[in-house]
Amino acid sequence: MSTDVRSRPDDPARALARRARRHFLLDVWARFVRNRLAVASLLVLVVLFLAAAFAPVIAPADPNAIDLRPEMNLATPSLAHPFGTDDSGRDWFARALYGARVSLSVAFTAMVISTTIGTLVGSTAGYFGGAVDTVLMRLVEVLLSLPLFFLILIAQALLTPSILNLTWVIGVTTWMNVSRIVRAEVMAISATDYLQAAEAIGVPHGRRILRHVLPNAAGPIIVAATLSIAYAILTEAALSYLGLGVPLPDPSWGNMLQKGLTRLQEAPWLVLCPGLLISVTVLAFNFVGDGLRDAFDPLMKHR
Amino acid sequence: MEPGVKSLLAAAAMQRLVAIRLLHSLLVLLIVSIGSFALMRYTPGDPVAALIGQQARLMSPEDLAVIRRNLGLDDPVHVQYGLWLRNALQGDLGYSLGLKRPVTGVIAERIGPSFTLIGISLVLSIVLGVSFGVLSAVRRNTAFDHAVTVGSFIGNSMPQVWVGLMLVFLFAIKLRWFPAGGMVTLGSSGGGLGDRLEHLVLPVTTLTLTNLVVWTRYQRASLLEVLGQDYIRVARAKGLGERTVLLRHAWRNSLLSVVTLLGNSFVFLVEGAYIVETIFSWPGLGRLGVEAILKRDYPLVMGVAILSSLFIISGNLLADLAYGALNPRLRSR
Amino acid sequence: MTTTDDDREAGPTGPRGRLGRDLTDAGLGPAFDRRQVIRLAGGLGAALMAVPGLGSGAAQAAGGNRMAAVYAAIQEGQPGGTLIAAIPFDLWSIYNPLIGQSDAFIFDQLWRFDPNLVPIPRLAESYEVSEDRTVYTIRLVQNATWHDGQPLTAHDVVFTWQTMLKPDVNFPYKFALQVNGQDIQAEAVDDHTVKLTLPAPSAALIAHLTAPWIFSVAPKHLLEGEDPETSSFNTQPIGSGPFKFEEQVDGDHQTLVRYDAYFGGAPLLDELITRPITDLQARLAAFQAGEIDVNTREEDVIATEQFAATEGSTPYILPTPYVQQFTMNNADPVFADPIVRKAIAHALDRAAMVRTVVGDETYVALSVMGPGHWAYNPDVPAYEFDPEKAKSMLDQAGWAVGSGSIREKDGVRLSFVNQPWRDFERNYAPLIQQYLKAVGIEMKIETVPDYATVQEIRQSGKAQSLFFGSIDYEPGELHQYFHSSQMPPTGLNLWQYSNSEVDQLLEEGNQEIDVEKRKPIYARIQELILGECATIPLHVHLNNVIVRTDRVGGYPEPTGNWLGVLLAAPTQVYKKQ
Repeated sequence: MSTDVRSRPDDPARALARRARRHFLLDVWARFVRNRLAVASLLVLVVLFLAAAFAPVIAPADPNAIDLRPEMNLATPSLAHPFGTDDSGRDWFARALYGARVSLSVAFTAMVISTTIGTLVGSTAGYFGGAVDTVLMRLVEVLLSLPLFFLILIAQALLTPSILNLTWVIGVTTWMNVSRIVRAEVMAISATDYLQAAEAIGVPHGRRILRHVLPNAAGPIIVAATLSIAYAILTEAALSYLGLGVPLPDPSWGNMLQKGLTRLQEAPWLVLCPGLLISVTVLAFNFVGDGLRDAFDPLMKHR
Repeated sequence: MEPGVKSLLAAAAMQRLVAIRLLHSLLVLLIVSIGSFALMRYTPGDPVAALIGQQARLMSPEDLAVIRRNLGLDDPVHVQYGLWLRNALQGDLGYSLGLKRPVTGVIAERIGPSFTLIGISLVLSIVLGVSFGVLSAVRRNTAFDHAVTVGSFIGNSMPQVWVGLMLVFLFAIKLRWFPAGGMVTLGSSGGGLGDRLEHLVLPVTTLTLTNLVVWTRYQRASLLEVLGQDYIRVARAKGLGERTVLLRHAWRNSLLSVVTLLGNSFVFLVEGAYIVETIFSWPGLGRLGVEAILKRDYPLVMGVAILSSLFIISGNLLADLAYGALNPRLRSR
Repeated sequence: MTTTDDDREAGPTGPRGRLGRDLTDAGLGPAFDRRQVIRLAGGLGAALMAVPGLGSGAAQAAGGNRMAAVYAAIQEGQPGGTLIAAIPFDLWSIYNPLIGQSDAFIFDQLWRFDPNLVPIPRLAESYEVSEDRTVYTIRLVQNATWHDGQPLTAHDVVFTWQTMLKPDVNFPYKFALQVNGQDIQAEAVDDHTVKLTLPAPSAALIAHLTAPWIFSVAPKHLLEGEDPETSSFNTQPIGSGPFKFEEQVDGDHQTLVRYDAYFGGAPLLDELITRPITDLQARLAAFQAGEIDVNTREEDVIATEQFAATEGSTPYILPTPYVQQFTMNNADPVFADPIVRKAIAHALDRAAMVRTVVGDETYVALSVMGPGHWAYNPDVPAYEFDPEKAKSMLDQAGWAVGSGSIREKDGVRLSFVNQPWRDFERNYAPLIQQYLKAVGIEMKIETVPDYATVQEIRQSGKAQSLFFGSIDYEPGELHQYFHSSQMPPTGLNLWQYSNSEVDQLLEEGNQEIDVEKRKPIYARIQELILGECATIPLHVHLNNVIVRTDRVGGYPEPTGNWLGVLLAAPTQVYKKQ
């Protein structure tokens, strides 16, 4: 007879499990919604994502289109150009929209990469323990002992600057902290009665990790993922300042910030735009992450 | 067990812990050095060409080869590493290719300014962070708490380069309250303590603003967790005043996670202030390291990488030790 | 943000001589032409000419003491004060002329360029050249001393010369002390006379020796027997220049103090402090906050105007003979056809691009050297902005528009990769990309993050398109850039240009000493290079200086190509009290 409760559709345990699962997430959502700041931030992020997604529709001009006429040089914001133009006559609003696409997708993809690797490594270490744990955690420790920013720098210097390389570099250099969080959670969960019971009835390793351990560890993972997006956006800005970020002519908030800073005193709106966008976005992610952390914590220890 | 034997056992356990950690740390340092070395060697970009530059237009290939040989760049990689390691163990980190001075000397010069800048900012962050964190935890969910949360998050969300230059624009150029950069006013008029403090205000503010949130949040979360514990409830039930409960019991225990965070912060002493150092023309290690990488100055990069790894490792070690010392549960084991 | 390697690149130096390029717009060599001398105008030059005895031929005869007298006659300032100068790149960490790490104020040279780029005597009071141009006899001033009091003699000069040429010494400019790869022999005839014996005549010898970063005299009594790379001398250098080394905090500042016993007359300034500030915004902020007296080596007009907006400051916009160019690898199938190259030139609106990137279209360049240089040929073919002409040229040559709106012919698609590195290169690239797209040529941009990688790309010889420049002060330098023997990896002919007539002319030009005879040679060379459109000149490199004239005096009105007052007359600048 199969041990998996799902293969027996009429089993009352299944209905119970289903209800418990659904309720858990709804619980989280209910708690999250109570945090007005987090909800407001989430709305802001949704608006930003939508704007980025519909950039081709919203943008008044081609973001890379150059117009060298003197009147288009550092034009102040106007109806035709809501955020003004830069020194090559490019529309700054269009660049902000397309820049949102680039910055947000780089940050999001980097987050996916780092979360995936981190979860893999952390859960393997936390679940199997022993020698596996020791080896993996020593590796993590070594990698964490390397100055992170230098690592990113060296990697970017090694590779031709491109959006893809940038994403990989940020993703591959930030998974270590995720792995530590995941490992701690997995170790805690593996020791619970719930998991011991699963082992006792013979649920195989893989299924145990995927079905039982990870969903319960999801909370901290999601929180870490959210915060890593914020970190990725700031890192992209820092790298662009060094000239190692998204290469021209493609816009990204980071290289827009760098460009704006070169004209800080003549055309301050050029730097205000990406500066505010980055700040607001990172802030929103921070609030959402904080809200999620509170929402996932069943004991509400931190409220 | 008698108390004497208990503490002896505890001391022995502590020593074993320290020894193991030290061994681990050395292993980590070794791996870090090999990794950095390999990474630098296989990065494209020839340091000789970079360092001599276009000026040496008519240098013959023979001359260039001589320079490469003189700098030891022709030997196989493991030989070069072995040489580096042997010298490093004796305290000689080699010669910087670009600056033509011993690496140890170059780094020693930059440590002072780095420590000053980042040390002061760290102390400020901790003091302010702990204060705000404790107050926030005690007054949780009040307007004060929300204001602190929002405020510290805002500081963390802004790109450092933006914050720094905005501060310079406002306070150094428009208002003329503080200088725009450098460590002291040059020439015969500068150099006093007041002058140095004046030059520190803007860079320290930039660094502190962006890092404050971490300390605040950690302290707040940690204190809240401790306040929810049973033994605090016991203390309250015993009739102890809120103040005593807070100061004697709760807060000290909440410091544990803050101390852990302190260990992780050591790395900022090297790399965290690169941008601030550039904007404010501060001769620190962060700037040194980044420029060394861009110039492929291998010995200098190795020196800075090893130094920062050393900081991270010792930070962690100290945090572990402090954790062990502070945690009453661990102490009695 | 390109960092501190800019100093190794484009253009001449400002007041600091570190790794820059020097320029001249007057003749070099012993036969000074009166006409060129009279062209010197303004400021110091006029004053020099006004003093009897100074003029053609006599310029080299005027001693250092005479210079001091002249300066003393026209100076109006009071001694004292500290001058703070800012430079956009890092200073050397150690100083030793023997390894090419000199400082223009601590160490002195045989000749120096004056504000109008005429080499005027410094330590070399006078010199004579033999009939066959292979023996130079240089007479040194009698009263020059080192900062430790010892007299500077011919033995110091010879020691410096010979040490620089030693195979195990890493002196990067050995070519300046050689002719065709063979060493020039130096010997001390007596305490104040040096004899140089050349294997063959060299038109560029004096120019090379005058460039401030190449040959400065090092003290034999302190450096003999020492390893130039590691000597303790390097962190406390002793020179013979107008300023003494006081202290240096790496990455922060360098302090020099007046050397009272300087043979050319003690400087008026008490202290000269240099602050290396690589970040433009940080430098601008410091200047606006009043922390800087003189800001040097600004490359574009836009930044210069921002500095000049500060009350009490005066900008000096100074073009140089160095021209920034858009390079095309002539050996690459994409650029092999001269019609393609010419079409590209017609497709670009250089005036608009220079106006956008540099700030002023006056500085559009037409040739491989700047208009102020004596060897400049104003009649080179100019490819005016005409995209329609570009398109029809390409059509007629058989470059038909193919897939993706990109032209192709015989299997070659007009699509290439351009690799910009420095800030202004990254500013040009998207503009050029857009112009070329309009005529059916695709340019892909791959930015290079740092100088080391750029060098590697240049040496590989495989780069299709880069940004590069040529000549600082001597037209003979064109040899390194356009002679067919100078292909990468050993040479700098990144254009991979090969033309046997140009080769021959370049060799001729290097041998010919007479300026009047050199001019037509280099004119023809420019005609040929631009005629084939081997390269596309963009703008004349600028070397702007912004001075707080409300606080600093003694800076004469700049003329000529490059201002080096502080360099040529460091004793003259003063701080207003």
